[in-house]
Amino acid sequence: MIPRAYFWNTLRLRPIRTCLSLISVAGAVAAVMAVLQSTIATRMQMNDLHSTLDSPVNMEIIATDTGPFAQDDIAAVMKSDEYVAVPIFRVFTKVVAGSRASRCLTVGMNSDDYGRVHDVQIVSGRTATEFGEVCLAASVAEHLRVGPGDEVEIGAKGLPWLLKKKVVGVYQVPVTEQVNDSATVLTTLDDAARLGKSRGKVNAVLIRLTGDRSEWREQSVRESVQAQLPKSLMVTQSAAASDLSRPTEAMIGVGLNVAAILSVIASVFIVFNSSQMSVTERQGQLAVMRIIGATDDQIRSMLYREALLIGLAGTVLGILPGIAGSAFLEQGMRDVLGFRKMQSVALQPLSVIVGIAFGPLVTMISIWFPAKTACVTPPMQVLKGGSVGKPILTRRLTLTLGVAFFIIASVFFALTWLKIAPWVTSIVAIACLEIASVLLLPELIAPMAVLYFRIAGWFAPIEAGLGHRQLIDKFQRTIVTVAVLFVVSATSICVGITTFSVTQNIESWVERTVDADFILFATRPSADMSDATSLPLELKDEIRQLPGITMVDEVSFCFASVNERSAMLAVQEFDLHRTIPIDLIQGDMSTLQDRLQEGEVLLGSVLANLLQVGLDDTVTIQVGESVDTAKVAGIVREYTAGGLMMQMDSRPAKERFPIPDPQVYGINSRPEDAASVAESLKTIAGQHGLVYQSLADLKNMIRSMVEAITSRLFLILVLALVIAAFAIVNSLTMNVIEQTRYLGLLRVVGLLQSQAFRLFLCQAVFLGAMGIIPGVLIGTVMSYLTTNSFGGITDHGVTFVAAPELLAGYVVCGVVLSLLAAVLPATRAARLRPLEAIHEE
Amino acid sequence: MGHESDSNSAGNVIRAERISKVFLHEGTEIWPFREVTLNIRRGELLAIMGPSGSGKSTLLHTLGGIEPPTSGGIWIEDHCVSSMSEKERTLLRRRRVGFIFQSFNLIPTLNVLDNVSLPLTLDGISAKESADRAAEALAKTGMSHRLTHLPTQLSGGEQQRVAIARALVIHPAVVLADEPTGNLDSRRGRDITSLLRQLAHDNRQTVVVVTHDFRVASQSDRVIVLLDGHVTYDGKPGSDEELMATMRQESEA
Ligand SMILES: Nc1ncnc2c1ncn2[C@@H]1O[C@H](COP(=O)(O)OP(=O)(O)O)[C@@H](O)[C@H]1O
Ligand SMILES: [Mg+2]
Repeated sequence: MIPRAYFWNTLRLRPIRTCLSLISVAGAVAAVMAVLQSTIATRMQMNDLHSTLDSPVNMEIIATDTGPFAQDDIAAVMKSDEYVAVPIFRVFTKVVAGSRASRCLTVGMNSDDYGRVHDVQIVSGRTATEFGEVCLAASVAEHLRVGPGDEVEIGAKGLPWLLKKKVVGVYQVPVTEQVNDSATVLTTLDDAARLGKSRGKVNAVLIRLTGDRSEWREQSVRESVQAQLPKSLMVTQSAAASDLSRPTEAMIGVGLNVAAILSVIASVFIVFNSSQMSVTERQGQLAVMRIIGATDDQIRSMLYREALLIGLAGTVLGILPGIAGSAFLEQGMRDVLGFRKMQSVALQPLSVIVGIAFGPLVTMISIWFPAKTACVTPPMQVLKGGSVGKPILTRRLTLTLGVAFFIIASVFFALTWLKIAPWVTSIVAIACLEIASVLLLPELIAPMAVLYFRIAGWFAPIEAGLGHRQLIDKFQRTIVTVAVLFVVSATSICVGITTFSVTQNIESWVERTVDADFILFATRPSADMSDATSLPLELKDEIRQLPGITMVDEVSFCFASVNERSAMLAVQEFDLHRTIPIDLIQGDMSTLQDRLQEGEVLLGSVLANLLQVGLDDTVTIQVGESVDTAKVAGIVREYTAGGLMMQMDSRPAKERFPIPDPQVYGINSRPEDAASVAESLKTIAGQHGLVYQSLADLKNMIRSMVEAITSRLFLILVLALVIAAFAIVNSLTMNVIEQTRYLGLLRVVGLLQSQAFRLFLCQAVFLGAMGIIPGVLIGTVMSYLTTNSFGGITDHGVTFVAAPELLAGYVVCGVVLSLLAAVLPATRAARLRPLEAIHEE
Repeated sequence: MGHESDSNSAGNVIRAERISKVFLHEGTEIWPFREVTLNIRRGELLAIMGPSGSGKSTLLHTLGGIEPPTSGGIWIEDHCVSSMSEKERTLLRRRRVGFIFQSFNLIPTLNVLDNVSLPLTLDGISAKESADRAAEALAKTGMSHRLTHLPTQLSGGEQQRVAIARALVIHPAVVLADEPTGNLDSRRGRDITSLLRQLAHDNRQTVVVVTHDFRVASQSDRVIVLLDGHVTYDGKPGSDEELMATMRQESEA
């Protein structure tokens, strides 16, 4: 047996090597933990972001004429394991308590169904279970100054009198859900149906998927539900503020999986590099042991034991930074998002377990090849300092493999582009591309080295010449070092830019479609609402008078028919908006404003489908008695009124059709006046019994979330780089150790300490730049491909946003870290005492 | 001690018959030695001389079972080394062959005692016994006073004494030394030479020493000279004056 003393002394007497090994394992473990943790955390956070924007309701069943229908019609689809179906009756009502009144949407549903689709929280009292009972939204209850036990009167359109109802509870839905269609009065199904003069009927069924809410699943459920419904009923996508939600979740899922996989690859690479160095450094000693009688098994088992110890110790060391990193992430998230109902990101057992298993396992595996090489190479050859065996990856082989991987990547991309293979293939393709690049990298290194050292030679000819020779002499090591940096950079940049793009996309989507800072309304438009309550006209002027107001957009909704089919017409003043607040699927944004001003219309995608009309087609519109034709200027993604929606600019619309007075005001203010405007609007809303909503709050929340993600992202990227920089420390230390004699000789013949120092700095910059710059380039390409492959998941796709400042910052950090990494070995080289160095073997 | 060829194999510690070695280097064959036949007798101090690159080291390593010969047979104490597997050769080296190198080749992370007891520890001998035997071997080479020092804390001559103790600790059939004085100044070199000679004579320890140093050769029982892979001289030191003169010139150059 190889004595235990050797084992311990090796670790003890080579503190730098031991530290480097421990750090690379600890770093890898911490990185894997933190990446997994942040992957899970970000996923949770993103889910939350989407559930914030998104209605929990995935789809609704409504009648094609948007009227009430019998429950018998939907009996077939009510029971399913795949979703929760809640029949409701929605009706627009006026609620009166004494001298106060409020106009609001009343939703009837069975009390068992409370909370099954919407996140309804009872604040006081209980739910409405008996006929004649109502539960009020907190804002309504506050405005009417009533609570459980009080009585209110409710009227609805077409009912000649008010009905007395008993308030039994007050509820709240999370702020975030109110972006959509939330009721302000909840009552029993029977109550609501009677208010709508349709006893025993319902006018919508809300469907919420259980479990997986992915888009494809939703699609399949929608189709199966539709198939079981009579022709008079249809399934619409729910009025989601964020249809971006599901596809984005899927995208984030893909992006994070890519991140996790690539970061594991990078960590594995670093540990492998470190193990390789640790063995190569001692190949002479191992050869001596073999000569004096150590068998291969003894050598191997010693190396494995050592690896296990390093792996375990490194893991132990890595857990704390890993947990700290995770805690840092969690704290950050909470700081930014703490004011909201935000899932706190606890340390995930998965990330801890994977991290703990990762360390020893990867270290053990990483020693396999060096151990094998150490045992296979004839010991005398090692002692003579000859090349250690043949590298398994010869230049020829790497070139061939590189080209092969490149071809595989291209084929996979082609298949996904042509939609022959599922989008998952593109992830494989991206991984192949990274592997191909790293295999082809050596071809670039030699010519670049010539160029680099020629330039460096202008400033420091001796150092550059020596440095160049050493890097080329130890080409294998140079390649491995550059490869580590390359893989880490490419991975980080791919993940970083992709995440950045996605968050930027979310932000810009929100900025684009949520244009107003505040909205005021009496009743919200909905599928069955053809004439919402108009707002008092004098209100607009009153709002305009408020200091800091920059825009008051009047929005009117009215019942219309398009090519003889019922739909809702929404009219607003598009010319007030700098960018038109719509999500355009088809059409040309640049000419849209002009076309709208000429009286052309936007059609909701659902409506356009039903009518079988497309861009530039002409449709016949009827509002009241007026009939006119209009050209379709664009198709938009819009889910209000179940997508049976048409939009026009207010001026041309009013010229042709009897458009009712505005029912919603979209209000913008100067940012600095936002707070005071919000206060004033709240007061106004209270005075008139209107609903007030701040979209600015929503936007700010999203903005700060995006900022938080971006800044943390950069930190994580740099952290990965720090770990990768150890590859440089490793490699240069090896260069110093191996060349100790040579360096000593050079020092004897007059190489200055400062020159020896610069020699290694010069090498470090080359290694760093060769790894990081191509890494950043390929990473950007990979990210571009990743974001584009999201197009396969959703027709949205994600627009690729290359952040030049992020990339530049990364390269600068990388080169600085490379220089820092060189300091230790360079100092060691400079401090060598010439004569000792010559004698040292 | 005479060198007249002894057909009785029992008297031979190493027997090599028509051994050759070939290296393939980028397509061309390099023959460090060809068809060498050699018997080394028990207790003999044999010096191998020859110009640089003449195949001395390769021959020594092949005789000691570090590398197998390309053809021919080698027996160490009647074990046929040339037909052994790598592992069998390793075990044979561990128990029967001691090596000494020009560059000492001590394990830098082991102290003197641990370095010397290493071959015993590798063989599974208890720590206590191997330490005792190592101390004994170190006493023979005059290094008892430095047991807990690390190799880097010793002078070159001291390191070589430790290396010799490591070679002796297993009571080997043969000690193979490749230019043991090459890294030492002449005084230390002479000390090491006389130590080897003393070992060979007092303990009847078979020692084969590759050397450039004519003085070393002159103290040996027998000298063989290797030229271009062939044994061109095999006899007592100084008996072929002409050859010896060339060798002397070369060693002093
Ligand atoms: N592993 C090897 N591969 C190729 N050639 C070798 C190898 N080892 C030694 N040689 C060659 O064999 C010849 C003899 O080398 P060596 O035995 O070291 O000579 P010496 O020790 O007499 O100086 C030299 O020409 C040397 O180049
Ligand atoms: Mg030699």
